[in-house]
Amino acid sequence: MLRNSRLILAHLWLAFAAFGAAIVLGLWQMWVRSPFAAPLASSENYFMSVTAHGSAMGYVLTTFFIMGFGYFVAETALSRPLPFPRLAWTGFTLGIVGALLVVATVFSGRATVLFTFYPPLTATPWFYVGLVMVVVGSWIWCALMLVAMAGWKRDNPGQAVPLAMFATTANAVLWLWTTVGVAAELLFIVIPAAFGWTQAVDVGLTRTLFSWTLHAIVYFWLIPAYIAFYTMAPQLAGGRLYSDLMARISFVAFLIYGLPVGLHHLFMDPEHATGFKSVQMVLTVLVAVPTLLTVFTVCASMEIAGRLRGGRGLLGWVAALPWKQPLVLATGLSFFMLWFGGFGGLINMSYGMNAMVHNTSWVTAHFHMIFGGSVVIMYFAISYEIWPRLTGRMAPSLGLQRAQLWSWAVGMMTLSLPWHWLGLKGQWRRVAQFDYTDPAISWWTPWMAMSLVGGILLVGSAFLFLWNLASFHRAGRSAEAVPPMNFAVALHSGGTPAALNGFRIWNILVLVLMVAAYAFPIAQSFIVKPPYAVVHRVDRTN
Amino acid sequence: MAIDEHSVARSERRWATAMITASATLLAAIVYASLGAHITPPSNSLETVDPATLHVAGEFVEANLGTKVESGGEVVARIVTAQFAFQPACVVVPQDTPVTFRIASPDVIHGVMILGTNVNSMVVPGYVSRVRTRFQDTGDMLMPCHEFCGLGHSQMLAHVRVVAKADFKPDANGRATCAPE
Amino acid sequence: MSTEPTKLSHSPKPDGFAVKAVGFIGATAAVAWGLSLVAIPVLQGQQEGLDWFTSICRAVGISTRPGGGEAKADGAVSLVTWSPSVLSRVAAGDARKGEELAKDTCTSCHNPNGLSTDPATMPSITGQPARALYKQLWDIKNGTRINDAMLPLVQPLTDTQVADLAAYYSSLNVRSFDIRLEPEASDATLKLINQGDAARALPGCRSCHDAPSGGPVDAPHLVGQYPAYVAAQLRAFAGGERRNDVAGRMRAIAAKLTPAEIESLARYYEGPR
Repeated sequence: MLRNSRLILAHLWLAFAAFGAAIVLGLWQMWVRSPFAAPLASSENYFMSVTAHGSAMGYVLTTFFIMGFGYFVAETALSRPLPFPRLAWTGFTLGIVGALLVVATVFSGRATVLFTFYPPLTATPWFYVGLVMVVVGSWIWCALMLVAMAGWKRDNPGQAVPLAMFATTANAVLWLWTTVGVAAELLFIVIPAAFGWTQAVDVGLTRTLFSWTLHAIVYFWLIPAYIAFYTMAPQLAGGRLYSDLMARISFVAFLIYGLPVGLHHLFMDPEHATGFKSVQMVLTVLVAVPTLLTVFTVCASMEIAGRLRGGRGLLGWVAALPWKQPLVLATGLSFFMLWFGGFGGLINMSYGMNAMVHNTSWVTAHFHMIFGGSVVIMYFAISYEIWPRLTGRMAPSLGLQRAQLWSWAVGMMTLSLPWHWLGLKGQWRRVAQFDYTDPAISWWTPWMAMSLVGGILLVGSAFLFLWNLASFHRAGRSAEAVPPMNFAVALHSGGTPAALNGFRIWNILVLVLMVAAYAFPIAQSFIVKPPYAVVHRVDRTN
Repeated sequence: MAIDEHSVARSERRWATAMITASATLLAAIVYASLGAHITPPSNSLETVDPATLHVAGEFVEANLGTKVESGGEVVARIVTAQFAFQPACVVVPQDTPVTFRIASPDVIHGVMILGTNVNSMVVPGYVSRVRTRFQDTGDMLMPCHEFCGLGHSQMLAHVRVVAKADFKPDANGRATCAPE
Repeated sequence: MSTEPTKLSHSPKPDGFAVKAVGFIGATAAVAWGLSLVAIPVLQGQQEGLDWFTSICRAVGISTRPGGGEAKADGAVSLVTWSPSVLSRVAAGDARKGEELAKDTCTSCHNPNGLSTDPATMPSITGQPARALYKQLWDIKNGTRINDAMLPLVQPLTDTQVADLAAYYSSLNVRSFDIRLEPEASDATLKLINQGDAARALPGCRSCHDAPSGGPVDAPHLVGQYPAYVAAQLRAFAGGERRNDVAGRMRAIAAKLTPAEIESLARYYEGPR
């Protein structure tokens, strides 16, 4: 049992409570826009639901899971108490109050601006204030991760910070950089407009600032999955981490190349010329590299495990892996979906092909597969793995856990493959109602039905997940049966370059790249002085 | 294990080289498309326009919207995307002819795409969106708003009608409109 | 709970890795900026006959073209522009001054409470949003909305007076019912109001009217409006006699409604009975 079990469980249960509610909304949204009549269908309800689904999945599930898992890693990987646990509770309190503000404002119909805001549409200020509180709570987490790592380094001179903690801290550093864009957008432009202090906004600037956050946030979500790939899956499979060095390089590469690439979300926008879109496109090509390195290192690590377990031949080691271990299974399923998601990402990244798919269901499908699929399935598996350490209780059934992971993967493929196809054929996004009598649209019906089946599977899987977690708490306490938490050990220890034991030099590089990539696109608003657009309030009638 | 540290490092270097080469190849393909086929994102030079006065003065007043053959012979389709309608709701253009779309918004963010083509652009109030294209096939195509613009977003739809060059008959002022069906 | 610690490297040049990494990242950045801001723009510009300096400025976004094309300034359907300064002027309207002013100009037809003397031809203006009233008064004043009866009355008003009148009538609310109550209507009518009809590109009425929707800033309330007036205006929009709707959205919507739909919408908006 960990010292901070209650703290970690509070974070994770909040994350998964939001997840459980949001996924039901997601299914209802698919039903509304499908050819089959849905209850409670109206434009107001639909877009309110989209706002809630996106905010809960993108901001609440992720942020609280990552915080909770970070505290877990800090305590277990460093084998020492978390510094300032009271501050951690303060961060949690800020976050939960913020999340409740978001829930209240969204469901009172005063914040139907979707989770990416779309100024000059303007919600009640308390919606944005709630989100800022969640972010500020997470900043406390970032500070605690930095303090925890610094404390360990002080007490262990000449040794490399354990990989799991190095990666967690890399994520905290990344998150601090990432949130600068959205914080500037909210604090300087959107919130003043929402309080009525300003009557109009520079829409191009809001989009530029949000793009700063929009891509790196995805790596914030993804890094816990990568931590599990590198440090948990090889351990559970009975192998070793092939290379500690490559793992560190990958995490640092995410930090460096994850940030100066956000303009690729604005390829089709008129407020930037070609030059900086292209700069950030080239850097986007490079952010594929750490994922490709990860695929190699993790596969090599698993191969070691498979061969140690007696696997022979070119691929015999794959069959020899302990697929009964939920986290090993989840890693396999996650990699499978990562192929599709990564391929889609390469399409989106090139600005010529982006014109084919921008704002179509292809994009929705892409991020559902890569986030909802590859990443969230690892959140499940990580939870199954750490819950015994948090509760001192073993899972009554690994079979139900595997069933849950399988149904999630199958559900996500069934949901998102039709979306990919329809998007490629031009199905556009964020729509509550299609005209299925139009011959250009009527052929969608079977594809919409198929994705709806995927959605039903996902809801079933989500409930099974919550059931599986709850059943830990009902199981008898068997602390002695719970094995200690070990992270995978590298094949060869030693030789970690000093630069990969901290972030100073990488922060300087991020700063240089961000200035080079974003200073002009932001400054342009003050040079060009584009006309502003007046605020359109969604929280009150004219 | 029988893998020594050197072979680990060697295998990683090989893989990293292969992956960086693959990325560079991808990049080369994009650069080739930029130069060989002159592919750029839409609106490749900035143009600003005041959303508040869009309907009062300048090229986006109502009487100037729709398809027009400019004095230089260029076919230009001017469109206003507003909550929750396109004006005009049908745009006629000639087949196999360079066409420039000029699009602006008087209120919030919109997006425009034409199904079955790669015409795709955001419309951000304060800026003119410009897309140049050439339509291969005749027929009516859907042109929906693809960016959330408010509660009527789902019903914000228009059409592009591509007609054979011989059937494209602008009037004396160079204007062409969709004939009623 | 333990993990074997990994030792830091003791190579004689501890910064060797960092130097290599910075070199690699610097090289990739040089490629990114060089390709994107110099090589591609200049080569593309050459194909269009632009000199290298113009090409680079265009790619960076320094040179902006003023909204170009062959402009025509006539044919505006409304001259009201919602700039922040106009919004502030409307918001600053003085309801008490408006009340005084209304005694001389408005009350003989619209009463002090905004309920009109002839519901067949005049709207109820009680509690209408100030911006909606301001726009319609100015449109009548400018002649972009034809109303021969109103024209001589609004002609002499100053902009401040228009804002004051708008402030006064928007401050009232003398409806005899709670506008939040859903009036009875058929499912088809309710669908038209709450969801619209994608098959006819008809947004739901509530996308702009009566709901906290983020719709057009000058949309009027419809709930509580006289049915004869609603129907007459929809027919006027459909026929093109009324055309002061920016972007032609009400003309487009009204032209797609059937006569029966116009009647049932008008009945709905009269409110609960």
